[in-house]
Amino acid sequence: MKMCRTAAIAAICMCGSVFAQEQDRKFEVYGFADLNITKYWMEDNAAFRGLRYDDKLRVDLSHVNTYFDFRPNGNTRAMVELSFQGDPVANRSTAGTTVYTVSQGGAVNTVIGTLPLPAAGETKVSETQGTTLEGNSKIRALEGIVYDWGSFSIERAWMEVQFNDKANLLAGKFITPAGVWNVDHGSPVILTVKQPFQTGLVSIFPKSQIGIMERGRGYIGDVDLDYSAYLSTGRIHNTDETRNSLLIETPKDLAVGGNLSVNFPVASGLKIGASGFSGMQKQEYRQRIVKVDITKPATDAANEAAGLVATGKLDPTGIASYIQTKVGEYVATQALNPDNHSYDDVMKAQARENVFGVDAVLDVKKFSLQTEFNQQRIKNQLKNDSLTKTTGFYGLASYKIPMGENARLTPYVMYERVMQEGADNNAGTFMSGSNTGTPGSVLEGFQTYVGGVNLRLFTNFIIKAEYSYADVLTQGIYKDHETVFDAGALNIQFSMAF
Amino acid sequence: MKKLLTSIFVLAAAIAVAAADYIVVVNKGNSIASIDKATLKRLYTGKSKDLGGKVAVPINQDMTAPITKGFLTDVTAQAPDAYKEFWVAQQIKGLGSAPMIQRSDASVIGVVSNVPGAIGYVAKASVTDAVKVIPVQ
Repeated sequence: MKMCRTAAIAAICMCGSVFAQEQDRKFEVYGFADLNITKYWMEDNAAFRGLRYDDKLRVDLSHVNTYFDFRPNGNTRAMVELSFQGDPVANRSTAGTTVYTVSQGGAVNTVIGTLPLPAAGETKVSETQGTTLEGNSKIRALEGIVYDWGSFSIERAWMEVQFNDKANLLAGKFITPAGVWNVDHGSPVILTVKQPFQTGLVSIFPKSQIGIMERGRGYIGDVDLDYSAYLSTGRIHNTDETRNSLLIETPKDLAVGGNLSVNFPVASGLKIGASGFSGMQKQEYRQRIVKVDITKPATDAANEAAGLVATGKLDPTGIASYIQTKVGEYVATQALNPDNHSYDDVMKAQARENVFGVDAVLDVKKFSLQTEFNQQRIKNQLKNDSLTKTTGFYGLASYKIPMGENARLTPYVMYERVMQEGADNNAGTFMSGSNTGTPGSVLEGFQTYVGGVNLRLFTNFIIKAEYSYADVLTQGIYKDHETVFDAGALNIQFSMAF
Repeated sequence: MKKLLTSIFVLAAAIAVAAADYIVVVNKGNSIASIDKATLKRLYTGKSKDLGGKVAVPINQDMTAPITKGFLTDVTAQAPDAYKEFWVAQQIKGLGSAPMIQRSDASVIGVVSNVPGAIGYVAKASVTDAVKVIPVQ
């Protein structure tokens, strides 16, 4: 299997080239791959462990991205970027179903057990109603979530009609044109090993969207102006239960956004850009309502036999066990009975998201400075428009040192800070609680310090080594345990474009 | 010593002029009369696809050829290695692919004479009637 994969990659490498000699290149295949060696240092109860990080040495094939680029003529183009990623890109419910009782007011009472995992492809029963046991109007089931490590995704797939320099119309899934680093997402293009959190883990701007985009370029003397404006389905969530966030119910569900950047012939180059996005975040889950008629056995003796009564008193443990057994029986026998179930879409989160950002890249001979400032404002419409504000900033400085033909060493330093205010909703923010009233996280944000070197050995091959230290800020609440929230990391990356 | 430095400077200048010694040619059917370096740079960096109202097809010569080095350094301010690196980045960003390469002046002229939006650079001595020469302003 491994050999097949290696052979496939080698075949792809051979058929693609940046510089081709054919006169008629209607179809091209190219891409990039990177291998990462990572070592984290963190305490046993570090907060980062909850974010899937580990302090064991990790060696993984982080990306193999392949581009399929089709240009049937000078005015049309279609492109698909297929990505294998070592990082999790999808969530899957496999942790079983927790059943707990819910009172009339909706408050959660007692967790009463766990139903067995459904078989692959089987519909899960999410909620049951109609129990006649005292104090319980319904029994609700929640599904656990685990992460898939390593999976394929379509980073982008679009077709474009190119009218002229000023106007091009694109439709499909596209990378959000925002800032510098959201577009420069391939390791051969990125100076550092890791992207800033605000364009990765946190994703202040949506990474990609599905919709239509108009983009083009104008010129004022030697100054280039690039623009893009799009209409889309909004932020794409990578969880199975939120696939229906792509559904449009009203025009207000459509997202709009755009980017404007200006390239000045100043020094060795100066680019200044501004980006904006406004969309809805809707997370729904579809539940199956199954009518359950669980009645207590008619006689005391039967109650005792069923475990509901112990030594003459109602036994909560016995009741829970009894309900669990009965729910299981109903799931097995009645869940597919057309007269016995219905479907209901429940809005888990509904929020208006507004994002804006500015960015700049300045090159002065061998010195380069890159910076972005991005801010996301989310109003949770299920919680009186309560506002969650996430603000990210980073600055990256580098210096190119030529080392002969094709080779170059570029040391760099980067600082990033991401802060969040009002993290008390469940609108897809990176430190949120839930819309059921769970208090928000105590985390205030984090800052990272990064230093490393980028060694370009050939045009297409790069080795990077970098140390980063992430300092999680806790509003001073855990000031005596600050290091528990921090983590250091050494990353070595081998990156190749093919 | 002063004489030596002057000689070195003159020699270096002569080499620089020689390296940038290229003639830009387009298809005879193209109405474009001249071109400025900013427009040339946009064409060869994929930023512009318009050449006199036609879809531009820029043509490079082999990256190791002296004429390529002279042209790219003069027009894009990039040596061939940096130019290749630039196009690797453009591809990964999804912004397009590098211009096609022809291995000789004759091949460039052959393509330019047959493709309406083609533009290329050749040595002055290689220019023929099959293509139109446009001055670089």
